[in-house]
Amino acid sequence: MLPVLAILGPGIISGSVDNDAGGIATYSVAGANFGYSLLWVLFITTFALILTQEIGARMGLVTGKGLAALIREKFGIKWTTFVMFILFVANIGTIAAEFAGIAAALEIFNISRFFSIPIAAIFVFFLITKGGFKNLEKFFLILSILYLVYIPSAFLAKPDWLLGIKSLVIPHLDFSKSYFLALIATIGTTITPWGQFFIQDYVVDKKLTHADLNVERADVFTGSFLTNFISFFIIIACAATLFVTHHPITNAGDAALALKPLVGNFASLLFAIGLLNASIFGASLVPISTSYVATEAFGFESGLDFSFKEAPIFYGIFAFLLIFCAILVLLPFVPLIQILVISQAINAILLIPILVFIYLLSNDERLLGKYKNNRAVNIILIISLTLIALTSLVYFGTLFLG
Amino acid sequence: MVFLSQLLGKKIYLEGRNFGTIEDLAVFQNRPHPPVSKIEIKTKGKKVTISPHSLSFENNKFILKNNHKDPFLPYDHSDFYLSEDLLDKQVIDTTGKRLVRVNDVALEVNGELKVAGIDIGFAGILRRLGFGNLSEKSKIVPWDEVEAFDYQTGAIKIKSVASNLNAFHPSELAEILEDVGAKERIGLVQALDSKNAARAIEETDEETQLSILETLPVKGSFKDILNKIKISELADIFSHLNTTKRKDVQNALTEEKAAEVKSLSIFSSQTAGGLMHPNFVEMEETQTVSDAMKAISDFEEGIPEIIVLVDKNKKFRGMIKAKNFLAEAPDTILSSLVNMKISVSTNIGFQDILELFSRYNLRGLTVVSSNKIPLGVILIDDVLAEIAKQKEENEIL
Repeated sequence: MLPVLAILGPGIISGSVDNDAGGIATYSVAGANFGYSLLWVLFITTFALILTQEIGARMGLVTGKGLAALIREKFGIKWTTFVMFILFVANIGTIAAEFAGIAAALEIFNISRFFSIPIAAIFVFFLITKGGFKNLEKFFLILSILYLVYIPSAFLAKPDWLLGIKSLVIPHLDFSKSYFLALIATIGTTITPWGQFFIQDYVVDKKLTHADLNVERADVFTGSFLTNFISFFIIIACAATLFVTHHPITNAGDAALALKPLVGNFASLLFAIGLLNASIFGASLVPISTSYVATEAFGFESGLDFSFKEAPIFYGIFAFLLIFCAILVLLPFVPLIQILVISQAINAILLIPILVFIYLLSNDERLLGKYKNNRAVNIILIISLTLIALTSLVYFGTLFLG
Repeated sequence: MVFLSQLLGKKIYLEGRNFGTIEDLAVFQNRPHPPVSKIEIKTKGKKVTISPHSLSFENNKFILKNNHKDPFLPYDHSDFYLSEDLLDKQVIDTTGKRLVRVNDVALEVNGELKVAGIDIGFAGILRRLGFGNLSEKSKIVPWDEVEAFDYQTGAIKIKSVASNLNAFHPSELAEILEDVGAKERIGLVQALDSKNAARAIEETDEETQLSILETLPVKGSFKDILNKIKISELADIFSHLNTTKRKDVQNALTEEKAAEVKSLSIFSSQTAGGLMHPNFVEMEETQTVSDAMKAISDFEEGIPEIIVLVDKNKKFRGMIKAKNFLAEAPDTILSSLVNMKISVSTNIGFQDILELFSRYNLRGLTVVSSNKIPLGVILIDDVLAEIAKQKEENEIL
């Protein structure tokens, strides 16, 4: 195996799942429909993502406990139930988006979603329960390198680099419903409730300690940076092609056109493979990790070491999420691209209460001692929280006031 | 019986007027059925503690008696509070020998308010969420079968009276060590005898071993525990430690052990070199059964299952199962008893080792250097442990 795989840490995996079906769709829509004007959001969320992932990793390292366990121990069962409900809703959105991604990718080859989605759900179920996932994980991660094609594609499309860089640092606002949806989805696809639970659980599971803090920080930093580095080029590539030709995205085939400058007629094929890979990866990881978190929070038997009979709730949640989300996407009146984008916006809104808990926990001296947040981290965290909350409010405003 | 969740948040009245709400209960520690020592009350945004004797229960109401001049006791952080330190935390159930989470606390009302046990069932969760009337049975663990940790330091704070952690099987302790929080993990290691701690650490997975060595304070039992851990286990994790910890480990070990750990640590844990033990009984082929019996009884690490035979140049000649000596005359020459002539080199992979063990029904296998000098032995236990370890790696989180 490639030596680089040896250093694959939770930050990189978590970051790579950020560019899942919802991510690709949201960044493509952002670039195609709004050109460069959402790049500044990506710029800010990169810092916010690094920050929140670092906090999650740090709390995991020092306490050896997952986020759900920390919430349970400090805030009790009622708040835990509330948080689990939020995580459940957010993850249903994310999983539905992964299935929508699978459907959208295969529709490029004219494969009906009524065929692709049930097969994908069954495939994922057995992939996880029969223990094949660990072998395929590296394959998924290697295949996600496919997204690097957005970089040369962006260059070949001859974008307005000056405007691109300017848009990255100068905020722009457009008070329309669709702009705010894309804005909030951009935040929600980058920083997610799921990602916060995942990074902390992963660190806990690997039994990392404060001795590993700097390595883990580097891992989180690299993972967060790389995912948004690629996101940047997805937006640029779409802005320089689809936005310029006034071609809004209504399906995955449209989004694939952004790769045309590089690979010509292979664009659809390449895009479909990339999207399919990212979607299956996400559809495998998110449901099972939801199951781990929920069963551990309430003290049910948890883990793939148990049989179906020994851990019915663990497997029950996993199966329910797959079936429910598959049906959600099969409902014929829901356009896939909308599922993909709206689910990410839901994630952003549900992230707000999760970040409040993260703020409170990461400032608890009894819990973290000298590893609690410093002032700079707190300031950025509070600013991020406020901005997400304000954006959500404005989005609701545009929804109701038009 | 009453549950803690039914008391928390209850209103307290003073002279017919609302005085405050019950926030928490402190108990006297380390008694079989600890009575409540203090009641923490939130009044006008402040937290105060009172003696349980200042409170009476009349007409379904908690009444604060005002016959005390100064009913308020000082708030003491070292007290053990049922809500703050116990509720929703992980504790060890010493009968089930596992880690459980406290969903509720059961109290006995018998003149005095005493802790009876903890509720670990789903009923406890439902009760606290306000669905107490649903007919789910409580799963109560009696108080004297519970060991609880200190929330802040992770040290074992409430010691189980009936049972003793040192009586746990190492593999049971290992499972708890793998699942518990980081501070609690260290608290538990420190609560054990150094020998039991060492056995338990050996049984944990490599990640847990590393985390314990990285975080266990070098002062205290570190040295004792370390010197009791098997050298082959230490060698597996030694190269993964950071450089300062490696120094700590080397300083803590006896000179001889430190050198052995260092020389073994270069082998990958998935190969014969990484799996082998450097300590084994080695005999020359011309020696007799009685010589071997003496060597066996002098062997420091228990009763060896296999004896390694060498020629006068110290080169590997074969292996003998120790139990074969039982039926032999004391003056039998060892070379006539050899029942396994196969050995492996240090870089042989685990799959090949596994195949040898199953094909020849081995109890042990000798690992030799390139010039056939025996370096160590792999025992069937090591093979089984490695299989168990590989199975666990399928877990996603």
